[in-house]
Amino acid sequence: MKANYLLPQKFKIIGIALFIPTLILAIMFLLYDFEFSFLDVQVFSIINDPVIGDVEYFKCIKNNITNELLSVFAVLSLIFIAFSKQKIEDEFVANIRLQSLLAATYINYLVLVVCILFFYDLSFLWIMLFNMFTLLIFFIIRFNVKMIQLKRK
Amino acid sequence: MKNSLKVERAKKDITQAELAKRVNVSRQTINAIESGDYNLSTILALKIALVFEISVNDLFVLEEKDL
Repeated sequence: MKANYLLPQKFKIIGIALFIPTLILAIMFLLYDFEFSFLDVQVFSIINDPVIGDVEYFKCIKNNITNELLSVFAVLSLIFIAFSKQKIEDEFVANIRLQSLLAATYINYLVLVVCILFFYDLSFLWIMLFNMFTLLIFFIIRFNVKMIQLKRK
Repeated sequence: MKNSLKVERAKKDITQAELAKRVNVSRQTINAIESGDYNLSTILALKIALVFEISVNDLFVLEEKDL
């Protein structure tokens, strides 16, 4: 069976290599407000809604894009890790992928529903921030645990 | 669905790894099929039957619970 939409096997290594520095910089950004000063640039915004001031539409604004780049790299690296081909990508692996994606979606939204009910205000914003990545993280964990279990059989 | 993969492999003296290589899947896939953990596709069933030179019906049999 041909596995469609999957990335070549080497993307997994690229994903891991990209994810580790991204994770370290993201932790530094979240804990110590770390930013690269050279990333202070003019960016085009569709909507800019600052805490103080009016909403602006379709305008160029000055912004430090460290956090934007970290988010993009995090999404890309997780997608690379999650959806790169296995050494032997057959129909059984495709089946495990599908089951893992389903399980990850259920877990992700179950956790989100619990968080909606029990986290409020700024703490909920943190939840939404992490929720951007948790679906992929849950999938990667579930899929790889299953693959390791299979290899041990 | 029951299968006689193990018996047929023994008759032809083929290991799981050898069979896997011949039908282009992993050894784990053959193991999962053999132990009844995975219901394989028609195309893979036909390919495996071709290796053993028997009919798919001789290799895989429906059970009462499948009906």
